[in-house]
Amino acid sequence: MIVQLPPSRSLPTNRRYAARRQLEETVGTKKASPRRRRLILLVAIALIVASAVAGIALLRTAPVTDKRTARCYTLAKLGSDKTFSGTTIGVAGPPGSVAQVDDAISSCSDLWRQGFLVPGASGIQRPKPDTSNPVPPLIACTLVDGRAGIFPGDSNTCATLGLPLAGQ
Amino acid sequence: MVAGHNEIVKGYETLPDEELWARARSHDGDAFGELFERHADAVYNHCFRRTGSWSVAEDLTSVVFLETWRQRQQVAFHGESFLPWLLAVANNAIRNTNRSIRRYGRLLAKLPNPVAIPDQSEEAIGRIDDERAMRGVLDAFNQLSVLDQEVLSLCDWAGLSYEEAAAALDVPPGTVRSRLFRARARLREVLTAGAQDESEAPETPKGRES
Repeated sequence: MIVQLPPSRSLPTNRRYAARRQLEETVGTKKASPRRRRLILLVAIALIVASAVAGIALLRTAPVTDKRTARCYTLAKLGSDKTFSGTTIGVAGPPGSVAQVDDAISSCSDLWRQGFLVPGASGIQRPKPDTSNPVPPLIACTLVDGRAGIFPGDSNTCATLGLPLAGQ
Repeated sequence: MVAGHNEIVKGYETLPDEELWARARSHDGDAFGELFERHADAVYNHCFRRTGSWSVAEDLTSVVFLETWRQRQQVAFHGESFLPWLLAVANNAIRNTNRSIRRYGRLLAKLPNPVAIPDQSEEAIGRIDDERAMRGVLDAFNQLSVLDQEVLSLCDWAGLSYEEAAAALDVPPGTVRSRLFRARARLREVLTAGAQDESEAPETPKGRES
């Protein structure tokens, strides 16, 4: 018994034309491969995250505008305008000049190392002879009046105190 | 510009499938359009013979070419023609017709409705007759194993050689040959049994339509 199949037919003209056009457009459009799309997506996400982190860091950073004096704190605590745990430092310059505290962290470190600063104490202390004086980790924040405030602490300390990190 | 464009497209008609495919891979839409023009009817008729529906075959024809493009990294040529590969894709699409059509539903929806011709035209009536006749064949055909169905439809219905069918099915040519003889015999057997049942069955007013 021979199987009788219906005769072959052509794809209807309107459908043929539209399907061909659609295929030509699909093929003619360059799309990134799935692997490449994934890579682009990952890079985009990384850029967004990096921008967000940089933006937040930028927002949390403020320049030191007043370098005539700086404050070396002995506690990660602000205190009041006049009473605080620590001391104010300045740099001596030629007579008549206004010297600047360019590296407040370094200056405060020296005071800690020499024993002039003691944790929690206000003002300058008398150093004990023949004792080693540890320097705690210090971080520079910008105080509300534009001066640098050097606190014992880490990169989160400024934010905890409601202050921006000291920028350039 | 138009003349130049036509000249290029006209030139594509003389290019072998492999060259057209290479150009299509480089995002040359016209080259893929020419491949479609060459093989769309063969794919269309293959899909009709396997599904018994011209409208489903229209959708599947687009699906086959879209799916071929989606899986372009895997395309391999066996011989000069692109058709064996297309029919292999068609067989996969036919096995999961609904899922295949659903996957490309958004694109298919943009195409004209299948078989948009006047209901009473000779063409429309002919297509309805085709579907009825094909369903009768498929009743028997679907009793064969999947591999036998595919071998028989590729070799006897779509006209592929043993080697082309073997490439499309990813089996040795010897398997195609032996399967084909067995599938033909089995189909003949089923059809004969069906014909005998019909002749022996008592006539009823609501008997099966011929």
